[in-house]
Amino acid sequence: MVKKFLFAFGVLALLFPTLAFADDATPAQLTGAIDAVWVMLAAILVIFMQAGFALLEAGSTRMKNAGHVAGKTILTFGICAIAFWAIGFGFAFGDGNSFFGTTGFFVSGLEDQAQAAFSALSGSDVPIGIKFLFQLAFAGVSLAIAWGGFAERAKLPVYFIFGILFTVIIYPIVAHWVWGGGWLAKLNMQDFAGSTVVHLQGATAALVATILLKPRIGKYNKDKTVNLIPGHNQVLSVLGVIILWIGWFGFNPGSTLSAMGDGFFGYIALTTNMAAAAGAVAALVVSWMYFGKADIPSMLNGVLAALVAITASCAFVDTWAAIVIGAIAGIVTFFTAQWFEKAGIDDPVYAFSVHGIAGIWGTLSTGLFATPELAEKVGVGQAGLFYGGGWHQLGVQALGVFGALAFVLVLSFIILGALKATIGLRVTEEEEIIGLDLSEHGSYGYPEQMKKAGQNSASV
Amino acid sequence: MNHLSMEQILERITQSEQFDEMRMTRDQVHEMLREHLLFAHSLGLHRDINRIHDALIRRTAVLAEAELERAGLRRPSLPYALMLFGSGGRCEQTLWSDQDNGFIYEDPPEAEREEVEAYFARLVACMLSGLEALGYPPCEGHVVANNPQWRKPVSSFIQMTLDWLAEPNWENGRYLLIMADMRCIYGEAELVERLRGALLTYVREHPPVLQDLLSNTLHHKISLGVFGQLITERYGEDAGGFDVKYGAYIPIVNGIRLLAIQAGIAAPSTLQRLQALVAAGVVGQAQADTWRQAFEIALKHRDMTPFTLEDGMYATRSKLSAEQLTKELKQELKFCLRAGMELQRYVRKSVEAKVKS
Repeated sequence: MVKKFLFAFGVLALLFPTLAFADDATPAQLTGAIDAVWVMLAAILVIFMQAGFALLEAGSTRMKNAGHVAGKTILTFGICAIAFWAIGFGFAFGDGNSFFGTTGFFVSGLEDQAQAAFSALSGSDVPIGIKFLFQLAFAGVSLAIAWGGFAERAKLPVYFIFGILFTVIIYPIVAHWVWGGGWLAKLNMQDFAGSTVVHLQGATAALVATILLKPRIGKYNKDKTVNLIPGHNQVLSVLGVIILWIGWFGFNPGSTLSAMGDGFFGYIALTTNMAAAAGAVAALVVSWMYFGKADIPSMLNGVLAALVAITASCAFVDTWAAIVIGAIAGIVTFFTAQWFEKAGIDDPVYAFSVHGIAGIWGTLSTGLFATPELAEKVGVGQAGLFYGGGWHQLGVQALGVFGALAFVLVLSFIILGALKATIGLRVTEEEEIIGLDLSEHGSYGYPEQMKKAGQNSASV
Repeated sequence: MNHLSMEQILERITQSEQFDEMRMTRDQVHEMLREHLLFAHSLGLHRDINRIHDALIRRTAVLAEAELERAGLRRPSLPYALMLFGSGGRCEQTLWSDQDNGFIYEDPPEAEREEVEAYFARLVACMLSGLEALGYPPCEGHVVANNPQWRKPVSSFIQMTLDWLAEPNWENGRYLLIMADMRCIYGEAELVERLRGALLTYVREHPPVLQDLLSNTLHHKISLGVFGQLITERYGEDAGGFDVKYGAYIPIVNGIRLLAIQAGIAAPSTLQRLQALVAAGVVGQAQADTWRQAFEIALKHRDMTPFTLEDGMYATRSKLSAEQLTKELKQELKFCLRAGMELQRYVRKSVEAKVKS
């Protein structure tokens, strides 16, 4: 045994120095390799956020829909990957005009296409395959957010059709505006990792969906009072949020697209983490004060709202400001979640409050809190209102929010309205009552429990 | 009917010979009283409601006795009493209270024990079915006299109470506090007072038991948020409404009850207890006045909550609806709730001081 180890060590000691010295990598190659590893890691973290969304959404909805809710996460990420590869990525990052890209469809993953088609991404030395995966992960997150508004009542074909259309003609257009050299990029809008591009877009689609789909059966009484439809497993939801929190360390710090810059990605990780922490505490405390009970779902929403808000501003603001931004996000969305619910909008996982309202707040927050040093370091825009930058940056941010919101609102209404008029968006009443697990997929996610429930009562 | 006087109503009840006859009277009286409540609530009206309930329950007991007699059953020559717990015991019933009751009788000679038990079980069953016919739903917690736990000879009742006192865990504490509100509604009141005496004597001799009763007493939180806002229902048919029973009324009742137990006061009603607390010099007049006002506000709004008739039973979810919560009413409730919180703090301090001394 010992002999074998010694032999192995000897071989390794001989092999590795030889390999390392054989290539004599240049500093540029090493930088590129480190950056590539970093962005690949970030892409993995952001793709792993799909697990967070699956757990969060499944935990926050009912048992009879759990298999469907979790399973469709994989289905739609698959749809998204194919559609983004074929067309979406070219629309978003291809060279073109101020509104969309016109080159780089059907990504080959080779550098010749990259050099010819994606000048907006040429600032980074990361291989195009990794760049694509990283950007795909963001498109996937945006789409996953949109599905929140469809939860527990949309037909399966709608996930196919809207999934493709969102990935091809909604998400990439706004991404192009801000990150692909489009008109908002030219105005120097600060949206570091996508409070507007990723979150507000997904949330706006969710809002349109939840309005067109109408509330779930049993959510509202005849006199418009609201019923609680509790999620079936709070522990799943909590795990989902922890995964999302960790995934965000790929989302925001990864958006540096580089591990260089004196470890700037570490600073962004810090602001991101502090905002999330503040959002959790603030939302729990405010729910406690307001309801008299410390509400766990409200705390989870607070974490996510804070993360969404810090997404735009994470690279532009001081650490203390990140705490303020996160806390305000947690508190504001706590109240907007109640208001939307009381106003008759049944948004089962509060997607519009958590990603939309917080996305708007986060995008505006950098217009308030951006420091001159950090704006200069990132090289986008200028200082915010509180740092002597005047109203200019805030105005740009507001314009960006308005543009994205209006665009997604209109397109989503057109697409989903057309679907509603033709194939219909919603399952039948009977299907909704027995659960989408059975109606759409033929078997329950929790077969034993659901059989029991069916025996005990006719209505589930 | 609308203009029947109290005397006429009570007379009609005491002359009823059938349960369904009384049920008709009850339904008519309800119509009439609800109209009164629409105009104004007063303590006088509240007292009238309770006098009517008392009369109905007493008459039910009399009719039940008569029914057993007609069936040829021999009544034991032992004193016994039907007692009320809960709001009935405290003379604080609303128009739609449920039944919480117990039945106590003198210790029978050993030889007759079984026969006596069988008779009283039948008598109680007859009384309770009468009360159900009158639209009083049985208590959800099974604090009713057909549950053997609440139908015993006096010595067994006392022994059960002492057992609870010796091990005052959460469940037993709850029973003890229920029992503290007992009141004889029909039969030999001395039996009930003997039981109460045993309870109060034990507490006087073992003040630390008050500490165990405290957590139960303070269990229901006053529904007032840290911003001074009313905490309303979030979801359901009562969304936006206010739970006046558990958010205001019960916390005050509980607080006053424990102060009364601590002071050895026998009166079961909250207002009588307050008076007795002042008379005994335990609580200052000004303090008691504030609490009395708060209690009367809670009582008034509890009488105003919407009620339902389910399967012929009068019931309420004890919640003021969102529409009922006008600005003035909210102000009034907030005064009541602030006083209730002060009361809860006072009770905690008072018990802790007593236990230490």
